[in-house]
Amino acid sequence: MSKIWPVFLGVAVVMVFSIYPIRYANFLCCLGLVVGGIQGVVLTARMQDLKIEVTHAMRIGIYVGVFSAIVIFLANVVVSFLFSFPDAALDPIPQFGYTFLLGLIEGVFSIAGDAPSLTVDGGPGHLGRFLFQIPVNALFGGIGGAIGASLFREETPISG
Amino acid sequence: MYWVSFLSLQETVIACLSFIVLNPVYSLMKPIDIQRGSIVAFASTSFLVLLASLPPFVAESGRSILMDAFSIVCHQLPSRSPHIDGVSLAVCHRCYATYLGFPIAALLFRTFRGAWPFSVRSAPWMLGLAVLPAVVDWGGDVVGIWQNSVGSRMVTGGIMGVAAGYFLVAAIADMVSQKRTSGSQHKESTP
Repeated sequence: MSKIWPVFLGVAVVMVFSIYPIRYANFLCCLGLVVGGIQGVVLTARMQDLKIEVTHAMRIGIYVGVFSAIVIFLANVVVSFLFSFPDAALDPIPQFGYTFLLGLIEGVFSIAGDAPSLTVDGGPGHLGRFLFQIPVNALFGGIGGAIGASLFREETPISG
Repeated sequence: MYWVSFLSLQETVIACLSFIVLNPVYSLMKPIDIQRGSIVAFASTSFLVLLASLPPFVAESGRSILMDAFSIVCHQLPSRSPHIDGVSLAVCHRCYATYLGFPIAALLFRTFRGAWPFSVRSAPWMLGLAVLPAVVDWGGDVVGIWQNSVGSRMVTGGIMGVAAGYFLVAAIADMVSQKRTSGSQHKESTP
């Protein structure tokens, strides 16, 4: 449990950055994911006498990214259905989860392909778009994890 | 074709080329792990810049996929995004400058011979300070003190990118170094 705890807190940080109106701070963009990854790594390193390997740190960052993608997706689906509110309270892509389930209900099983969007623009379909979120979140969470690992690097001044 | 408005295309190209050409010459004297690590870091972070730059150069379907993928991590407002031939890149000015900062940080890491002047205590403060100009630039615009520009967004994003990139590149270099060490230990232990 103690190993999962930092990941949960990292996901919580991503959630905070995803909520209105914080996400409207447009200088943030991917910062929420990166900070979430860093947060997970910092907490893990504190449990290990401030030492952490880069690969381990990146793995934690990736977990934070992937879990946050799943949590955001599920939260969006729940919020959308509860409040019939397509632009749900959480971002990045609330309407995709909403329309994915709507599509299933309507018997539209080709939404992962090139079916037209039920809400806004076209593109690769809503399920396809949601599936983008997993690798993109993992990438930026991993970047956060790597940066987090460097926070615990030892000083090595310029030599030779 | 037009590029970001605060630097002419020629000035940008000359500045980038001189840095990229001169840096490897100087860095020939560096320890092999730093060279290798910074090359891996430069290649991987440049790939991110390449992906963000691709939309104007690919077909409509590919462009749509790229824009959708990056929409998860960027607002992509057309008025705040760089354009090439009238087609928006996949991210906004600030994000693009941040991504550009990563490979530049890889070159700096080589130039400074992998030096790490930060302690565990000071490193988070350095990262925080790097975000501060972007916060001020954005905050001033929001409360109406000034209106931020392409230049201010790119400069503040670039500061953030180079600072975060230096930490990222150091981690990638460490990872490459650790892999080499564990690989050579495995070879030694094998009879």
